[in-house]
Amino acid sequence: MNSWWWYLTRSTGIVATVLAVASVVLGLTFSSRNMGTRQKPNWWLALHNWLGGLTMAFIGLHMAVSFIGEDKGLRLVDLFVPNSTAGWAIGWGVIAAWLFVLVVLPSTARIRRHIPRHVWHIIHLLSFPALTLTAVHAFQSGTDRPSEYFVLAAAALVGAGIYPLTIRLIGITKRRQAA
Amino acid sequence: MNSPNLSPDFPPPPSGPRTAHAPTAGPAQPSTAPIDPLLAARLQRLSEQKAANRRTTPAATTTSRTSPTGGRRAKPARSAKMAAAALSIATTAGLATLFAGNHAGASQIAVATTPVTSPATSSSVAVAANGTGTVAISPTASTATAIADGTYVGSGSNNRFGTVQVEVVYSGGAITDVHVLQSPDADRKSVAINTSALPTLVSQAITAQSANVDGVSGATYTSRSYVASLQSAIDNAKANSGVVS
Repeated sequence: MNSWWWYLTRSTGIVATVLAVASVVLGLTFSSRNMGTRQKPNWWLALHNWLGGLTMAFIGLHMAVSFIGEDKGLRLVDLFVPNSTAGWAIGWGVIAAWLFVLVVLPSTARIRRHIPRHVWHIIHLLSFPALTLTAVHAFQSGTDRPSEYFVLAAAALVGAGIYPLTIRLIGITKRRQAA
Repeated sequence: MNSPNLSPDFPPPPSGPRTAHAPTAGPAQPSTAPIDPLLAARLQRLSEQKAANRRTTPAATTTSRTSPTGGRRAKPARSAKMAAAALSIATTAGLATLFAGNHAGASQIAVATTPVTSPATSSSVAVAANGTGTVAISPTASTATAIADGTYVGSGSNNRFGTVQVEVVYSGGAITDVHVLQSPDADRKSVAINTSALPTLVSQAITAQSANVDGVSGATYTSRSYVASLQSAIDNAKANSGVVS
C-alpha cells in the first residue's frame, strides 16, 4: 500500500509541473497577444486562471500524498519549512510551492482589486523562479530522473516554455523601441 | 453673428408649430419633412447594424451561456477547463499505474536473475524469465548444503549518494541478521531515508532468506546497493561454506 502512495506522489508531482508550465505558457502567449482570433481574450484568461488553480490543487495533493506515504520519512514540518530535516532536494520544492501560492493567491479577484497592477505583475513574475526551483527539485529528488522519458519530457517542457517567452520578450523590446 | 446653418446635416428648424410627434393632415405637415427623413434614415441604419450584429453571432447566442449584461460568456472556456481537469486526473492515475507496472516488472526481473538457495529444504529454485516478461519457476534438484554459521561481509556497492555495505549473519543455515556497515550519510535527506529504509530492507532479507527483496519505494538507490552488497555477502558465505547452488 505504501508503494501506491509513493507512485501517487511521483505522478501528482509530474502532473503539477506540467500544469504549471502549461499555465505559464498560456499566460505568456496571452500577454503577448498571440492567441489568434478564434477565442476571445477572456476565454484564454479563464483557462490560464483555471490551470493556475489546478496547479495549486495538484501541488497540495503532491504534498499530502508524500506525507501520507511514510516511506520517505517526511514529517509535516518538512512540507512547509525548507530544509528542516529532509535536505535541500525537498526544500527547493517547498520554496517553489510557497512561490506558487504567492503567484496564484494575489490573482484571485478579491485580493487583486486591492493591489496596484505593477505590484501584482512583479508578484506574478515569481512564477519563473518557482518553475526553476521546481525543475531543481525534480532533478535532485526525482526517482524518475535517470529515465530517458523523464529527460525527454523535461526537454519538451523547457522548449514549450522558451518559445512563448522569446515571443514575449521580443514584443516587450519592440514596444520599448517604439516608445 | 450666430449662423443657423452650421452643418448641412442639421437644417434650420421649421418656423411653424412642432408637429413631428403628432402629424396631422393640414397645411403644417410639409414643414416637418426635412427632419423626418434624416431621423428615419438614421434609425434605419441603426436597426440594420443591430440586425447585422445578430446575424454574425448566432452560435454564441444559441450554444453558449451569455451574461445578462452583454455578449461575453458568463463561464468562458468551461469545456476546456473540464477537459484539463479530467486529463490531469487521468494522467495522474495512468502514471501511478505505469510506475506500479514498472516496479512489478523490475521485481520479476530481480527474481529471475537472483540465485535462490533454501537451506531448510536443501533444494533450489530455478527461475527463468521468458521473452514476454513472465517468470517461470520450477523446483530442481540441488546439491546445496547448509551454510556454516558465521558472519560474512559483502562488498561495498556505490551509488550516487554513497556506499552501502552489509554483512550477513548465518545461524543454523539461515540468515538471522543483516548488519549495515556503511550507508550514505553525506546529507540529512540520505540519513532520513536510510533510517527509515534500512530496517525494512533487513527484515525483508531475513524473511526472504536471500537478496531477493522488494526494496523500499523512495529509497531506490539504497535498495539497489543494499541488494548488491547483500548478494555479495551471500555469495561469500556460500563460497566459504562450499555450497553449490
